[in-house]
Amino acid sequence: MRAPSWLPEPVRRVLRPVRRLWRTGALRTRRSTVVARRAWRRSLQVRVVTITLVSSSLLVGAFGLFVATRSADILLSRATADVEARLDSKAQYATTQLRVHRQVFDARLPTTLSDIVQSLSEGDPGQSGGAVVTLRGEQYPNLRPVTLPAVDTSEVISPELVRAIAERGEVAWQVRTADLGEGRQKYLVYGSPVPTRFGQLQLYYLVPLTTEDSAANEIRTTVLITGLVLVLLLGILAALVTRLVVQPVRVAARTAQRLSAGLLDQRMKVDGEDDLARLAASFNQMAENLQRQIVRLEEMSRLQRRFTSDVSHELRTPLTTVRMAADLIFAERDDFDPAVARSAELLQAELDRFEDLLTDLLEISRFDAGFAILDAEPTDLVPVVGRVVERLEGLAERAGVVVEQRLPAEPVIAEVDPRRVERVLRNLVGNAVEHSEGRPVIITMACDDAAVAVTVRDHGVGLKPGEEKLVFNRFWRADPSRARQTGGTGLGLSISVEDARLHGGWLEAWGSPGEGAVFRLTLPLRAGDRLASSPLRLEPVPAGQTEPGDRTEDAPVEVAP
Amino acid sequence: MRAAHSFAALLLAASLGACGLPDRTAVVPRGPGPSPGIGGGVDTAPVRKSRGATTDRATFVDNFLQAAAGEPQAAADRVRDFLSPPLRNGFKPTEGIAVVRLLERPLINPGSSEAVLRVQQIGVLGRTGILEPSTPQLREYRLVIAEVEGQTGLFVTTPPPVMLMSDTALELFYERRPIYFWNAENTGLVPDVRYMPLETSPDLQPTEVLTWLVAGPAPWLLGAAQPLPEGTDKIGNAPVAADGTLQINLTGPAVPDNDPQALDRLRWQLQWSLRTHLTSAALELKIDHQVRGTFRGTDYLPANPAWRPVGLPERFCVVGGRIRRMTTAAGNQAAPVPAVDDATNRTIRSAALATGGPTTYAALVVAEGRGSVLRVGTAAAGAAASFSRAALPGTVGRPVWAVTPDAGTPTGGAGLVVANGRLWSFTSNGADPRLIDWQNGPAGVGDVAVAPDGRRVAVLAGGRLYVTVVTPGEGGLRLGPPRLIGTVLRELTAVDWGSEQSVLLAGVRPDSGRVAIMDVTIDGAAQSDRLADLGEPRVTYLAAYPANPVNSGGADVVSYMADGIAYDANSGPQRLTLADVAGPLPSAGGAADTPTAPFFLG
Repeated sequence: MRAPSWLPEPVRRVLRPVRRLWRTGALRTRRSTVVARRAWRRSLQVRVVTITLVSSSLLVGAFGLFVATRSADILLSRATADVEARLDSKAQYATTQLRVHRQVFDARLPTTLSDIVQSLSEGDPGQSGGAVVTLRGEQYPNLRPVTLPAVDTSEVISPELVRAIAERGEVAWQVRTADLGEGRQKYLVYGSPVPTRFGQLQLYYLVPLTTEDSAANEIRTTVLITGLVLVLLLGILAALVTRLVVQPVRVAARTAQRLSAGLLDQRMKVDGEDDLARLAASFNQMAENLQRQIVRLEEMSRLQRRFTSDVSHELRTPLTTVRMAADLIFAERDDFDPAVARSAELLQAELDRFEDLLTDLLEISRFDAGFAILDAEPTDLVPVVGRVVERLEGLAERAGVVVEQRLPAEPVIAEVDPRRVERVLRNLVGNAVEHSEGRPVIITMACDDAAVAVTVRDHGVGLKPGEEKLVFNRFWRADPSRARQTGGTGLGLSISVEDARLHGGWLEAWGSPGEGAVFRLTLPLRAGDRLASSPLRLEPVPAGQTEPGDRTEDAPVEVAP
Repeated sequence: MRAAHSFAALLLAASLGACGLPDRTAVVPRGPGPSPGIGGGVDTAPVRKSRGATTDRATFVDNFLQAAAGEPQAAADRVRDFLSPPLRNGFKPTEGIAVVRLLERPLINPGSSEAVLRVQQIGVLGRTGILEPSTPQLREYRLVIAEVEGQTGLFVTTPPPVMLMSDTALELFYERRPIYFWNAENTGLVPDVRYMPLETSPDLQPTEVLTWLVAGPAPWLLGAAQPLPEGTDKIGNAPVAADGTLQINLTGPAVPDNDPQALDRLRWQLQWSLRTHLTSAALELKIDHQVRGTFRGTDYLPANPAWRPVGLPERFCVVGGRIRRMTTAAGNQAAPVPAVDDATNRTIRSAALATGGPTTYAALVVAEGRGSVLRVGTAAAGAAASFSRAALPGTVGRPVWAVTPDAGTPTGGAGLVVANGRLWSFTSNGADPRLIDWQNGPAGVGDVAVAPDGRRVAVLAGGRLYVTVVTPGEGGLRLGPPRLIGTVLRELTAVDWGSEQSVLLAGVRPDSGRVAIMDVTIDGAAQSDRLADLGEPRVTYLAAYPANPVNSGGADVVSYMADGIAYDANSGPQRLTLADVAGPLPSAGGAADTPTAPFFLG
């Protein structure tokens, strides 16, 4: 809509407000019709009713137009035939009466003319309705036209009609609208030549079409009202019929919605034996099956979790015994064969892993059972990060990795469970150190009014597309062939996600092959608040851009439990 | 959806505009108009001489006296053309055209521009063609006829205050046209003579006649003739339609609903009044645009009492005191005298016989001693009447039968007779004759004659002619106010009706002093000789059989008596002899027994 650039500036300046006005108007129209458009989009009933209204309007309108036009034609032709018959006798009368005159300058001719007009007017039933009779001789300027009632007929008798009658000697008619003293009316102007001995005169008969006009108007009004009522009734009918169909569909939709929301015992009402009843019955059957399946799956899942929890518990007691015995053997390993001593060491290491695994499994099963409780207290998160880094210093030294901390100078107080947050961070930083392949790991923290975020960035192999969601799955590994011993238990990130969720926070991942990965933990500053956004970006900022203060508007990545 | 809405709105607007009658349409031709039909007759009007036609002052005066003749609307303009231009606007003549008879050629002294017209005023011709006689008086008009500078020809520079027209112009440019009105009793039509300008085209003349009929009879006929029913008017013209019918359209009152005879009377009246136009055309009569009948044929003729089916009359005369039938070319010559038996048929001086339906009325003047008595009787056809007898004083003239209000009944007759210079009326019911009290009537009545219609009478009194109407009154007849008609003849002695429009007069020529018989229209406009010179003896008795109104011309048979001898007035006087008397002559025939007092069965 921008004015073309080749236009001179003044023109463009003038066009600018026009454009603005157009835009405002378009916007306003758009806004005002937004409700209607939404209704059109969302309601089948509105669509059906609208289509019915429009198509029936067209049909009824066309039909009404035809009826009204046709009846007007009939009225006019009947009036014409009536007037023609009357005019015919009038012209005959005038012709006969004028036979006595041989010259146009006959002194008695004007008297005869007025007598004729008088007589024609008096003996005419249409006279009471305001009909006008006029007798004139166009080619005799000295002959005064006689008109009764005396009105000015110049507006009604058109030159083309005069030509048809006076020059071509035809009987002709025309409809004209004029005010002849009784308000503006339509007149049927019928003219006939009146031959005389001295030449030709013209007789015009002007009949007001009041009756015909009002009849035509009445017909039109009737057709219009009938049509409107018909269209309205059709609309209502369409609305009712559609409602009959749409209502059960709506009920089905609502029921399905509730069903999907977890209310598995929702059912549709089955009424009668029609298609809709069958739909409802099928739907109900589907819901039944679904519910049964889901309940069965839930039960199985519950049994599985219970089994896991039970197994973990049951393994703990023998493990403790085995542990005590293993510790004893490990303490005495120097006394054994070097091969046995090596086995004792292996036993000790695997027992550590086994214990960790068992602890994680118990933790996970606690989450699954819903027994995990958030023990939130106002905590400064900066020292928490420091603590985590400090603990992992040994690991980092072994891996040759520098852990860089970018923390705020002032304390960041949030209502969190410090144990769980520390576990999450430890998990993240540990993973980063493990996967950074000697490159530095960067820990960043930032906060705003509502949330605090911590990102852990490594520069390792990174994640393939799609893996950023899989990383949170239990026992998931990027490379299945990789040895178990290099990693943890495979449950760390799963537990971390559960911890974050327990806080009402997010734990998200980003990764790209060859560019490393980023994990971001976002927590609300006040326990129970809903998160809207994170103070830190998830994706790393390309080189040359400043990082802080740039908030992400992305929706959080939902992580499957 | 918005598009759909706007489309619906558009459709609605279109349908509202398109439905209903259109505000205007193109011209729709419907075929040719009516055809004009066949043309009418040709004009035969003579041409008036215009002002510039002559430079001779005497001829100029003649032409000037023709100027007013013609269509009455433009008469004043035509006269104005003769006036010098400065006078034209100021010339405002009185209504009507004064018809005058020049007593001599206009007196114009050589070298003088003044013309002296010595005239006898005949009457004033009005717009409805009525010539109302003015008191016959001699008048002089002085016209100054001069040339006007810068203009060719002569002009009248001092015009008379009225429009003048000579009697010759009246004869030349007008046609005498009787129209008819019913008498007061609706028993017969009374003619009313009008003047139709020949200039009026034959197509327009019926309309003009209709206008006259609607306007009513001439004033002097009122009482004897009745106008059309109150409120009657003509609607439009009376044209001859394409199918050859003469169409007449009158308003509703013309035929009152309560009178079954009214339509017939109306159409008879119209057929008589428009007789000359109906010779080839049928009459289509409409009342209020409704056709009430198309009439052709001659069944209307009996409505006029003047019309008689037979051509030649039955003639009688008195021979030796007895009424005798006279020989005629036709008729039952051997038949006896109706109503009068031999016993009564004695010493009769004069008689009048009239028929009304089956009844014959007879009035006899019978000599009794030194005086005369009037005997009146009625009889059915073939029977003899019983006569009443009443003495009348002094000299008794010839009786005439007049009106028969209930014609056909024995008491239906009434008549007039002159006795001792006064008019008496008698009736057929046997009552004594009554002296008529004639208001403003002249004294010295010499003769009386009743027109064939029975309503108009011509009376000679003091040697002058009076015309009036007679109406039935209580116990006798009444006369209307006398209208003096100027005549060429003086000392009139005998009168009878020669036709519907004229009387025959016997009197003395003013120039020669000789007796003559002249045919004079009842308005005195036209006077022509019947017998120009009868010598010295006065005519004492005149009887004529009036012309049948369907024939033009004067009376067929005229008889008169002079010096006691009866003559027929044919091309010349022809004495009646016993040879003219039918049947065997009386045995005591002598020289004294010559036919006298010839009369006709009226």
